[in-house]
Amino acid sequence: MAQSYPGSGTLQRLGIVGLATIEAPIVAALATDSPLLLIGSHGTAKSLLLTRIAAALGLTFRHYNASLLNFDDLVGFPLPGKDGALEYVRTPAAIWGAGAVIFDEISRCRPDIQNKMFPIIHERRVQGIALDGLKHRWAAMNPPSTDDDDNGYLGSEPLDAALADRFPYVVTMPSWDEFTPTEQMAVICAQDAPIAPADARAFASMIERTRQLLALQSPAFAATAAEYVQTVVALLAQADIALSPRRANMLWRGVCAVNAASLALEPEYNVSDATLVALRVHLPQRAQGIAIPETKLLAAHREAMRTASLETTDPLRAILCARDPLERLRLATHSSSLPESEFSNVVADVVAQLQPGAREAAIVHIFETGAVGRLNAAVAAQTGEIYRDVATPPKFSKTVHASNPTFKTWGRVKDLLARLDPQQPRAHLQANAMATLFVREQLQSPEAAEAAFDAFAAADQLLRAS
Amino acid sequence: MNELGLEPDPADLNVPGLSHEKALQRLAHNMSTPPKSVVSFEGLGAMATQHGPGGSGVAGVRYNGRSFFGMPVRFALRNEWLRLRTPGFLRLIEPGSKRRSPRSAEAHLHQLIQQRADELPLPEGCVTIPSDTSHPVLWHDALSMLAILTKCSTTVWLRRKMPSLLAALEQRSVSLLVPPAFVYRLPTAQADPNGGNHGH
Repeated sequence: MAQSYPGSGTLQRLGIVGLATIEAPIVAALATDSPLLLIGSHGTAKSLLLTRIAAALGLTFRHYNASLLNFDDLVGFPLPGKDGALEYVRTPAAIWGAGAVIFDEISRCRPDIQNKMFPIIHERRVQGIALDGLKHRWAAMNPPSTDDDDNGYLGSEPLDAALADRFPYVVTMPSWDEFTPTEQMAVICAQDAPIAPADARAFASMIERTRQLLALQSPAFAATAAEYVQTVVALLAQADIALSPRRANMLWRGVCAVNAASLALEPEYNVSDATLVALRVHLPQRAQGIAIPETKLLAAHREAMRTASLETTDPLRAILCARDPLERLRLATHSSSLPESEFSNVVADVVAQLQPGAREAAIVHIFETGAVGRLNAAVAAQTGEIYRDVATPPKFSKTVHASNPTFKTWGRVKDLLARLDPQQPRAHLQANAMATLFVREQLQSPEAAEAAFDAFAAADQLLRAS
Repeated sequence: MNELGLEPDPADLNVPGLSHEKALQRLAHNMSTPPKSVVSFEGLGAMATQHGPGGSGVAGVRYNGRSFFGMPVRFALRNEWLRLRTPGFLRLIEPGSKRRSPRSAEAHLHQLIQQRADELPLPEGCVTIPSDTSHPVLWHDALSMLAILTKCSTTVWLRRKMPSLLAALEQRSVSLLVPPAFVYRLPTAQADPNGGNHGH
C-alpha cells in the first residue's frame, strides 16, 4: 500500500513544490523549536525552504555559509569592556538578536567551527552567553562523501556523530525523480514571487495548531509512542543501526510531534505512516554518510507498530526487545503462549542472525525442547534440515589440495575436535556440527572454524542453562 | 626430456616396480600439480583411529561415536495397506463401523489420526530420517502409522500438522529421530503381534 502524506500543499503555499513527504516533520520541528538539518543534493531547495520559512514566520534570521565561517562572523569582535570583561562588538551579521539561524554547508566547515556550533544548536548559547530570542537552529548540507559511494560530494564530509546527534530532525530533501510530473513542471516554471500575507498566516497558524494538538495529546498516545520507540530502537540495534539514548528520547518526542503535525495537516492521516516519517527523519546516520537499508527500516517499523499495541506484559514485547538473538530464542521457547506464527518468525529471524556454530546449537535446542512442534511447516523444515545433519553423523569424503586453504581449515577442525571429551554426548553434536559446516563450505578459514567451534559451545551452554 | 627441456635426474626415475616411462610420467605429474590429500569424516566413528602426525603435522583423535543423537523409531505401512484409501483404513481401524459419506469418512479418519497423534508419547515435533529396518518399531497398529506418516514432510513430523493420507501412501515409511530428552517416554520395542510385514 502506498504511503500517504498529510497536507501536501502547505509548503507549496510558500512557493516550494514537491515537499509533501517532508511537510509534517518540517512543521513538527518548527512547532517544537527543534534543530533541523536538511540533507540534499545541490538545487533541491534546502536554503530556499529555510529562508522562505523564516520570511513567512517573520523571523529575524542569519544565514551563514559554514564553509567560509569564522567565529568572529558569528559573535562580532571581542573587546575589553569597562569592567574588564570581554564584550563583543556586534556587527549586523552577528548571531545576537536573531530569531533563526541557518548554517549552510555545515558538512564543509572546519572541525573547530563545528565544535563552536555545538552549544548554539543544542543549548542556544555562544561562549556561555544565552542567545535570547533564538528559537530556530537550522542547517543544510549535501550528502556526505563516503568511501563506498562515488556519488557523494567532494568536500562534504560526514558530520561528526556528536554534532549529528544534536539535530533531532535530519530530513532528506526529495529529489527530482521523486517529484510528480506536475511538480516537476511547477519547478521548471517557478518564479521568485514574494509570499502572500494570507499564505504566511496560514503557515504560522498550522504551526500553532500543531503546538495545540501536541499539548492535547493523550498520555495513552504518548505511552504507546514510547513503547514503539523502545521496540524500534531494539530492532534497529539488532540490524546494526544503533541509536543513542538521547536519540531514543528525541525519537519519542518526534513521533508525538510528527503525529500532531500530521493531524494538523490532515485530520484523516495514517498514524503508522506518520510514525514511519518520524522514524526516518530521526536517524542521524544519514548525516554521517551511513546508509540505512530501507528493508531493515521498514521491517523494524512494522514490527514495532504491531507490538506498540500489545499489553506491556505480552511476552512478544520482551522477546523483540532482547538484543541477543539467543536470548530472544530462549525467551520465545519458554513462552508457550506465543502463537505459532510469532514463534516461527522469531525462530526464523534468530536462525538468520546467528553465526555458524551458534545457529546449529540453537536448532538443537529447538528440537531438544520439543519447541519445533510450535513452528509452522516451512520454518520447521528449514531447521529440520540442519538438525538432521547435526543429530545424525555426517559422512563425506573430500579431496583437497594441500596448498588449498580448505586443507588448513580442515586441520584446524581436527585440532578443535581433538579437544572434545568423547564421553560427553554434547561433544558428538558439536563435532557433527563442525563437520557439517565444513562440508557445506561455511568455514572458510581456520579462524572461522575456531569461531564456529566456540560459538557452538557458548550457545549450547547458555541455552541448556536456561 | 620434459616440457622445460631438462633431462630428469636419473635418481628420480629409479623407482622399483615402475618402468622408466611410467616413472617419467609420475615425475611430470608431481611437478605440475600440488600434492593432494584426502580428508574424510565419517561421523565420530571415523575419528576413532589415530592418524599421523603426517606431513601436515596434524594428528587424529579417538572417539567412541554414536550412530544417532537420540533414538530412531520406525514407522512403515504394511504392504497390504498401500492399496487402501479412506474407507479401507476406517474399516481396518474400526471394524464394523457404519458407512459414511466420503467427506464424513475423511473427517472421521482425520479425527482418529489426530487423536492417536496426541496420544503418542513423542515430542511435539521430530526430525525425520530415512527409514531403515534396523530401527525399532514401537507401534504396529495402522492408526499409529498414519498418525506419523500423514503428518510428515521430508524433514520433520509435526503433531499439529494437518494429516494427508496421500502423503502417507507416497512416503510409505519413515523414521523419527526422537531426541534423548524424550526417549524415556517411549515403550520398549516389541515384535508385531500380527507378524505383519512393514514395507521397506
